[in-house]
Amino acid sequence: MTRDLTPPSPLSIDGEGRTSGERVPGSPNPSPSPFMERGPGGEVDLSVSVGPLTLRNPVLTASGTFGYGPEFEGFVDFDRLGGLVTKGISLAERAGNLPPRIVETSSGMLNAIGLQNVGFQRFVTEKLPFLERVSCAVVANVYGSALEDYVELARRFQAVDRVDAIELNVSCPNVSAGGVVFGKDPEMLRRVVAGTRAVFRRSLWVKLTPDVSDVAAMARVCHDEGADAVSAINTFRGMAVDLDRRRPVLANVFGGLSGPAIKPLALARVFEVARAVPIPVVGIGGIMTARDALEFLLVGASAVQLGTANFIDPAVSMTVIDGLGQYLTERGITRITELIGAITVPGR
Amino acid sequence: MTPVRTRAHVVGTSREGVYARVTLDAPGLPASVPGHFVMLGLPGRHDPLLPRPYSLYGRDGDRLEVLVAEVGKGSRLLARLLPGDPVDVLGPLGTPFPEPDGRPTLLVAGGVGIAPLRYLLQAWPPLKASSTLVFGGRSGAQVFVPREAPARVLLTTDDGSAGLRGTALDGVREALAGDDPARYTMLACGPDPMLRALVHAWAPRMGGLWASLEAHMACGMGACLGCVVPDGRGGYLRVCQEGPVFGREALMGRYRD
Repeated sequence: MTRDLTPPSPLSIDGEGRTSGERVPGSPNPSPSPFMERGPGGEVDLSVSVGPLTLRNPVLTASGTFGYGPEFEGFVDFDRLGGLVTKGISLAERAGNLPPRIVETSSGMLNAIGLQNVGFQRFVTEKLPFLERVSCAVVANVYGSALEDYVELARRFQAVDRVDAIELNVSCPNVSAGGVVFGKDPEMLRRVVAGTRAVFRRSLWVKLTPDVSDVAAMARVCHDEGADAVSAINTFRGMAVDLDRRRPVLANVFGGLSGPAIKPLALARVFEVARAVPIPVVGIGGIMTARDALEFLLVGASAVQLGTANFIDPAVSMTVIDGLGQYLTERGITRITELIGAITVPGR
Repeated sequence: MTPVRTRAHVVGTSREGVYARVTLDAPGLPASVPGHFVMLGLPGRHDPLLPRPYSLYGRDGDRLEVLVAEVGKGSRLLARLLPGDPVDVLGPLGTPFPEPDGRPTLLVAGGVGIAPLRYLLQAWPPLKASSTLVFGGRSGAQVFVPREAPARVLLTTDDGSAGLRGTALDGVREALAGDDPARYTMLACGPDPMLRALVHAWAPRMGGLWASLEAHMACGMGACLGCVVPDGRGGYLRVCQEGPVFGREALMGRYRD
């Protein structure tokens, strides 16, 4: 794997905007096979395309589970990772919710962090320099409490070349204003995607909530308004009860459920969404292993995000990438893209 | 120091009052100091899912000890492991206790909060001569005199079944009776209400003050933001990064309310 040692300047504004997909993260020279991974039995190609963005492999780390990157230095080789999605970034810094913020449930966890983040300006001055030194794709998760916030953030991120894509967070269950409100109402979703699309020229992803009756319908709205991909899905709104104290466990009452408990729910959503829209789907929900990731690819995801798994093993993304290569090698599959959407449903 | 994640194995478990002392062989775990904690996970299970944070109770080369109070599913499983059982260890993590500042030291433990203070006594032998240990618990089974304890130990129990009847706070009052608290540094670990009461009663008057906080956390590495406590100024401090050991100013902010 070659490594781009000439990072672009963080705030150089390119008047025309960069053509989407022009730069391949980590590879200044996308010649014939820039992404071959050497496995035990030869070379396999793990690279995937998510719309105009090419990733060296389909493994990203999910927003809110990976900080801004440096938290995982020493565990993760950022020049091997497919990409990272930042903690949700808002225009202004946010303190987040009162604790208790997390609780473990059966094979999962609830969180109600409340989008504690450093805000756009501190992200650029404090967090971006680290990301400039590594070559994985960088996706900025953006959160607003009003339509104008999303548009303004998209406008500002347009000027941050290192950010390959933005992922609209219209699915956070843990904030009182904005967030999931935009992801549950098709008309509001239409406006937020259209508004950000008008000012952001690189890859635009939309992270969908599963807490709607028809996720595929929401994905269609995103496609109609020009999104490059949808991330499916965010956490499910849940609750834990302290029986003896007769109180909710979380100060926020509700939290987002993640972890292996939601994997079957997530697979069903990804399967539906992938069939409903022609744009790529980034699969998320309880992925712990390479086999889990491959199941998401089979039902139609072009890439995946690991979330809660990062808390259990900070190096899990590396293990999953290794496992993907090994699976392909063992079965004589040369390109991982052969598996995307390759599920067969007997009788249908 | 960069933490590492390593596959450890149980060397043995023994009782320490109501607690289980679990000794692990964790090859490659970097050097630690008192106040550091580790995340302990049971491999190959999804329930419990997340690793659990434990302050180090003791350390000798690759061997580490934790003190487990059985309070839930994770701790019950951990306390009942058998020699040879695998445990994933991530650590050492967090901001530990500073080096002793030379003042006479008052160690204040509540229940399983004895863990990092016992490691202090193990790691810094001079403390044995220069410190007093106040160790409070609900009843006699919750308190014990650790092997490395200083000459002066005050046990307190809510029911009077061992030591003084009362709380660790009463023990502190007794230990400092007639003395100037400004001469002492207090190092404490225990349940939140105990620490809150200690900070309210003594923080401004102690020569030095450090306390190790407990919190639920998912990652232990500053990423999940699940373990935060209020800083008293509208923001939050991560127990896993800025703590678990906090100094006087942070503690007064955290317990301002």
